[in-house]
Order: sequence, then structure tokens, then C-alpha cells
Amino acid sequence: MLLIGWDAADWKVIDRLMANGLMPAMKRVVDNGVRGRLATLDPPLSPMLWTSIATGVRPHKHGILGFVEQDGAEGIRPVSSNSRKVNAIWNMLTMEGFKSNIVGWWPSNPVESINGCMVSNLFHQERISGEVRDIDDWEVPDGSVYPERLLESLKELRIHPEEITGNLIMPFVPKAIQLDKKEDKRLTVIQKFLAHATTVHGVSTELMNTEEWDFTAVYHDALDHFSHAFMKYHPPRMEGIDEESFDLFKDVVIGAYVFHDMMLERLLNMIDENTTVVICSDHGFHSDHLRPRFVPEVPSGPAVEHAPFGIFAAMGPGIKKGEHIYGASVLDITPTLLSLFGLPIGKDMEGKPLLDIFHETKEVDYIESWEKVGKHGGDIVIPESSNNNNNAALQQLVDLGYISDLSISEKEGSSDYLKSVMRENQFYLAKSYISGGRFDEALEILLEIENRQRPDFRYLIEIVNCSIKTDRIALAEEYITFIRKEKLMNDQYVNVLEAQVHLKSNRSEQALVLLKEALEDSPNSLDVLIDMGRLCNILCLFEDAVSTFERVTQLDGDNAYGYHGLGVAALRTEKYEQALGYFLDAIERLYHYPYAHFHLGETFALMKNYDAAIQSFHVVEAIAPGMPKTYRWLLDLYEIIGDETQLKKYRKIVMRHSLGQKTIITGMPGPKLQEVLDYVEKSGLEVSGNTDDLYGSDFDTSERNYSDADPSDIQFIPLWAVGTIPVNYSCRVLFVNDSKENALYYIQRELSSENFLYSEALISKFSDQESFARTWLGQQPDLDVMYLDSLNQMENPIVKQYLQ
Amino acid sequence: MTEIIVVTGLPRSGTSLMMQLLDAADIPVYADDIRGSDDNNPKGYYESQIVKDIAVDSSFLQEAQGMAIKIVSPLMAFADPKLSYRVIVMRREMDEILMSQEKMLQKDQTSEREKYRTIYEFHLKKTYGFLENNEIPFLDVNYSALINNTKEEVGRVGAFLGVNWSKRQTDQIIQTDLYRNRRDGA
Repeated sequence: MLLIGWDAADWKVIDRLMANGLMPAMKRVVDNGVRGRLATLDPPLSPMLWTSIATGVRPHKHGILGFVEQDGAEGIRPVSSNSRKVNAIWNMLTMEGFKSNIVGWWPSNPVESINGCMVSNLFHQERISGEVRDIDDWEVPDGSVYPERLLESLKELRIHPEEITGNLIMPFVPKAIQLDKKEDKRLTVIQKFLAHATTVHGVSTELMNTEEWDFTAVYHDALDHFSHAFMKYHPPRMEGIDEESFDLFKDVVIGAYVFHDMMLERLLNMIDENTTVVICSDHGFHSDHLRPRFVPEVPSGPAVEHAPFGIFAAMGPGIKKGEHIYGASVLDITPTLLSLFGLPIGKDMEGKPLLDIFHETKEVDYIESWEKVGKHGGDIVIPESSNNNNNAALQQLVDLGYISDLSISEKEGSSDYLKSVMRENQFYLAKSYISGGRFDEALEILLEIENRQRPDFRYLIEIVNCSIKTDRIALAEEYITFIRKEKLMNDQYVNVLEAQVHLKSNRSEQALVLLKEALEDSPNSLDVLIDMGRLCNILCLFEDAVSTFERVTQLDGDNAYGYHGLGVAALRTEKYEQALGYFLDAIERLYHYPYAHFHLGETFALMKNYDAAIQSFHVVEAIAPGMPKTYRWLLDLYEIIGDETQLKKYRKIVMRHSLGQKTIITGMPGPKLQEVLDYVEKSGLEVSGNTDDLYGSDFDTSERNYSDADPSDIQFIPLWAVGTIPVNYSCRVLFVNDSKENALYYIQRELSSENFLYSEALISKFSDQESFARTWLGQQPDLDVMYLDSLNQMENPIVKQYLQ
Repeated sequence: MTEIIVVTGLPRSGTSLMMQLLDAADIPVYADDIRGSDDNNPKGYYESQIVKDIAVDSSFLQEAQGMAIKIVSPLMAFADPKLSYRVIVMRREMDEILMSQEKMLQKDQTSEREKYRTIYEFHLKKTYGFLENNEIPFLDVNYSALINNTKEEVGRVGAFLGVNWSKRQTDQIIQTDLYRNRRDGA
């Protein structure tokens, strides 16, 4: 089993190069195996991600947070294996007697005494104590090689940047001769990372040749470095890049990918047909119009250039050929590797084995946790790495823009610097919790690290977002006031944040105003457009929603949220065929998107394609088991198709979730609502609530538990009281649409007005009530809402299920 | 007796007042004199500086066995769960706590009230989580109820700890003028 990690590799670049015949080895893997996109995690920072790849868990579980860690004293060091709290794949394989070669993994220094060989990510460093060492004065950093017997032979394989001469650089920069090497440091970057990559490759091939192995894992960071330094020169020429630089460096990224393909070819030639190959990257890298115009000057700012999907490709015995897989995440690599070795997967792992890659159905075993296996998986060979190594690698992180300049930190005082670094790591921990949907844990950390004297806008944004997610509106408002007062962010950005708060508080009109302002300022901001589109869908402004989401998909043809938004607008306007297409478009781009599957299921159900609907809801059940309304749908659908066994199963689940069968009828107090209520009553069903008083003048909201107390399963609630529907008693809502003018006429007639009087005040009141109700309903994750435009829809079997 | 009586709660929620009551009931108190009395706590704080480092070293709790000790929330969560405890959790209306803290710190934090309110909610959650996970017996005592309904509240505490107070003892301790920061009408 050969695992190859290419940091930041992206299909957009690879596909173009494969099409032009420039990556034949990669094409061989893709043609003879499966390929897919690998979703990254937030924050997309490499040491955290590669450890998630090697462990199957998120950073808050594996413990690698950011690029540096506290060294146990008053200083910091590059993040090391000492911080990893869980077993990595090489430990699990050691426990089961498999032999591994692990080369260059980030972080893997100090190495561990595994069954096999480890060469750490510091092995190839040429900078020691902040100085670049000459080739004849070049030590191997401590803790870089296991077993020690390999040290002397592997040492000789290292390539020093000095050895990367002009001839070797020419394929990357054909006009390198025109550059003044002393003045222009860009060639040094190429020298350095070419040397590192060559060393990693040399060590890997040596170990694969000379050592016995069941598993070899090779990690290359060069593509990430090449991309950060040179993607801005990649064609097409970006705005702001001068023609001369573009001409000089436009081929560097291509050269780097081609170079990796050459290394891959060598590795593929070293293995036989019984070896499985997996190639993956931790995140992608924007190479087109999505390249950011500037990189924010904050720690880890360069990560803004990363794209949310890396690559996954696999080839080998039992693996499908020439097919695509969907829905893979960096968390899935370790479970997939375990399944390839026939080993059980830890139930505490957050990823899943990618079983779609196999020809035949594979049985998967599970164990509670690899942490409880109790076998020896290898120990860290030295407890602490030396300071010399630390300075070297730290300087590299400074050079890359991931951490602040050490010389500045010395001026500030090491204690303050240490605090700020640790604070940043806590921020990454909070981001990891957010990425796992654990907003309370994230908020707790963010509030502790937030400092009003030294505010960091990234922390404040996440505080507002977490406050909204956890319904702490007052807290969100307090921070927005602070951000505005201190002018910490562009006004338009604050408007977007504040719009979210308004939306959560059902103040959709205010949200709309702020989003419109933000769009005027940033008409091409995907985030703002998506927020605006969602709001339009919630407010049933479907034409606006469509134009907004169309803009999203024009700007980013791979944006799953754009297609999903278009799908929702189509679904709500009963254009089911269209909706179907959009939801499939969304799923193709982002498989792990429960709402896209859910709405696909709804669409199929409304089209009376019940089997397909059931399949979609089963996908939701698998990827987001916490969405109770999925089970209600499955219950209804199995009842419609008459599958008694499944019906029993889902009835039990629905009962366990304490989901009631209460159906609420509400809507604009007009003739259509009256028709629907009459229809239901004439069908012999009892509707509780005063159905003669559609406006709800006598409705008593003080009876908070009215739904529980009322024995009836169907209840009428006036429009203005929709926000009082108890969400803990799961309800299904039939919302009857009607025009405000119809409602006005109807209410006046009910009040026995002799003459119809147009009342702007009453129309405005209806408008406010409707907007509030729709906004509120649009944000209740556990409520099912069906909008009805006419009485005909009552004949739909799905609506009938609501009323059963 | 090896049980440790812990008085916990958010700062300015009446933890020192409860420590005074325990002191008056002749329960040995684990405290040092480093932080003396002041206008905010005229009878003293009943604190021990070593408690502040509990996250790093909680070995001092061995010495506190059979005694009463004040460990403010959320430091309680760092206590050694292998020892035996009986815990009183002092509760007070959050706005009163915040105002009392601001007064003590002589700092206007009205623009950060929600921040601290949320942080303290998390601290309490952590404390209760620790107590529940380790099945440690605890009793919630509301500061306002202790001031306004002393006899009944003291009776509850007495029943929980197995101690008694005379009315004279409690009257001496509970001085309503300590309750300076309560909200109007609260």
C-alpha cells in the first residue's frame, strides 16, 4: 500500500496538465483507478490537516493545532509529534504487525519507534539556528530518523539547495538567466523546495528498495510552497501582476506539478500490480479567477489562497477503474486505509471508509477505539527536540508568512510572543470545533482569547457567528456594536454580519437592507450573494433568489450552495424537473451536503417518485443523523408505498425522537386559508383553534403548551402567532399563501364592513406578519413547512400524509 | 472526616459569605491571610492563594480534607475527582454579579456585559458538569434567598452538611448591607 501526499494539489491544474499530456503518471492512476475531490477542514492549515489525514479525527481530538506549540518552557517550537494525542495510521499498523515507511509527514519529528522506518519532516532542513548551513557543515536534526542504523546512509541522500543549479531551475523559469539572483529571491524559493522534494523522493525510493514494507507513506510539501510563491504568475495573468514577472514565472507552477508527476512515475515503476496506490492532498489551491487579490496580513493569512477541495485518487487490486467518487473528506483517508488492510475502524473516528472505491461490497469491522487496543504502536524516540532544529523550522514558518517575525517577537518579549502564539492556536482549536458543529465549545474558547485592547477581527467574526448559531443574539449585538465603534472592519462586512443577526431575530427587512448595501459595495462577493439568495428564498422572493444564485454559479461554477439555492427556488415554485437538476448539480459538487439531499428527497416525493425520495432521505439519514424531519419523511413515504417493516422501524425512531404528529395550518388570513380549513373539516378531521377567526383576535399566546395540551392533531394558528409554535414539539406546517389584498378584503367582510376600504396600515401589518412568519419558519431546522397556493394541492399524497 | 466541603460559585456570588457561615459553625477553614478584608468583603475573602494554581497542582486538597475551602467556578473542575467532596454552589442573579464585579474593579464594563455573562454561564456549566460526572453531592444556594430568607436557607445548608447555627450567629453574619448591588426590586 503506497500513500502519496501532495500538499495543496488541485484537480483544476492537474486536469489541464493531464489533458495536455504533461502528467502521464497521474493520468495512469486516474484511468486505472478512481478519483474524487477531498473536502478539507477549517482551518485549512497543513499540519492540522495532514494529522487528520493520518488519524481520521479533527484537530480538537488529535491535538495538532497550528504550526507551532509551546516547548514546555518559555519558548515555542514547530509543532511536533509530541502534541499528537491519538494514534496515527503507522501506530495502528505497528500494533497489527504491519511494517511501514513514513517519510516527511508533517509533523513527524521526533520520529517514533514504529514497526518500520520513519524519516521526519525536519530531516531535509538546511537552515539551523536561523542560518543556512553550507553543504559541508550540514547536520541532521535530532529525532529525524528511525531506526538510527539508517541515519548515515540516508544522510547521504540529502540534496542541499546549493546543489540545485541553474540547469535544474531552467525547466521552471526558462528565462532565469535574465534575473539578478542576488536581488531576486524568487529563484531561491525554487532551489530550496526542489531540494527538499528531491530529498524526500530519494529517501522514499531508498526505503522502498531496501526495507521490507507493507505501507509506505510519502509526504511532499513542495506544491504548496510553489503555489504560494508562484500561483499569482500562473496563466491567465492576474490583475496587478506586471507583464515581465508574468512572463518570467508563468511556468513555475506547471513545472512543479510536472516534477511531481515525474516522481510519481518513478514510484509507480517500483511497485507491482498487487500494491494499492492512494494519492491525496489536504486542500486545493485557487488557480483561476478565484485567486485572492491580496493576502491578509494576519497569522496564517496565506491560507486564504487555499481552495476547499483537495484531490483523491486510488488505484489497485479490487478498486474500480475510471470512475469518480463523491463525498470524500480528509477524515476518510485513515478509515479507508484501515479497510484496505482489513483492519477495523475506530468508532471514535470522524471519517468513514470510502467503500465506493471498491468493485465489490467490502465488509467493515469496527472497534470502540484504537486508543484502547492496548498494543504497542511505537514511542517517540526523544522526548524533546533540540532548540537548533526549532529555530530552523520556525524561521521557515516565518518566511512562509504563517507566523510572525521572530525578531519582532524578541523585541516584544518572549513571554508576550508565547502568549500570542498560544492564543492563535486556541483560535485554531475553536475553528476546529466550529467545523465539527460544536459552537458552544468554540464560543467558550473565543471569548477567553478575545482581547478588547488588542482586537483581532478574525476572532470577533467567529464570536458573532457562534453567538448566532447558539441563539445568543444579545452577545452578537454587543460585538457588532464594538466592531462598528472601533472601526475594526469594512462597514460592508459588518453589514453582512449584522444581517445574519437580524435574520436570526426574524427581522428580515433589516437584513435585506444591509445585504443590499453590502452587495452594492461588493457585487461579486460569493458569501454576500449566497446570504442574499437564501434570504430571498425564505421571503419567497423567488425571482430575486434565482437571479442572485445564478450570479453565484456564474462567478464560481463549482459552488454547491449556488445550485442548491436555485433548486430551492425551483422547488418552491413547483418547477420540480428544474429543481431536481439543480439539487443533483449541488450534490455532484459537494456530496456531504445534507440539505441538498433532503430537498432532492422532497422534490422526488412531490413528483411521486417515492423510491427515489426514500433513497435520498436515507442518504440524509447516513450523513446527518441529527435531522429529525428526515425520519418523519421516511415514515410517510414508507406508509405511502405500504412497506410495513420499514414503517414500524421509522415509527419507532420517530417516537424515540419524541416527534409528534401535530400539523399546524396557518397562512395569510384570506379566502384561500378559509377554503383549506373548510376542506379539512369537511374531510371529517377535527381542527382545533378558532377557525372562524382567521385574523386571530382572540388567540391566546400565553398558553405556551397549547399544542401538548390539545388532544387534536391538527391545529389552526393565526399568521401573527406562527413564532409561538413550540419547536420542541415537532410540528409540520401547512402555510397557505394568499395576497395581502385578498386578506384585507376578507377581514373587512368578516368584520361586516359595508364598504371595502383600502387600508395601507392593515396591508403593511399583514406584510410584517408574513415576513416575520416566513423568516421564523425558514430558520427552524426541525419543522417541516409546506407552502400551499391552491386547494388543488390538498390532493397531493404528501399533503394528505400531513393531515393523517 | 475526610470529606472536603467546597464553596464554589462565580466571583461576587456570596462565596465569602457562605465561608463565614461555615467558619461560624466551627468547621475548620482552609485559607490564608494573603487577601485581607476590604470594602467589598468587610469580613475577608476566606481564600487561599494556592487554589489559583489548582489547574497545575491540586495536591493541596489532601490537606483540606475535613475542612471547608473556597474554590471559585470554574476552578472546581480541576479538583482531584478521587477525593471526597460535598459542595455548596452559590448562585446569584447574573446582572447583580456583573454589577458587583464592575464596582469592585471600579471599571465600567457595560459594553462587555454579554461577553462576561456568557463566559460565566460556561464556567457554571463546566462546574456542574464536573460535579455531575463525578457524582459529587452538591447544593445550590441562592445569595438573595440567603439574605432575605435566612432561616430557611441556613436550615437547608445545615441539613446538607449536618451542622447547626444559632439565630444569633446567622444574624451577625448576614448583614443586608452587604447586598449592595442588587437590582432595584430584585
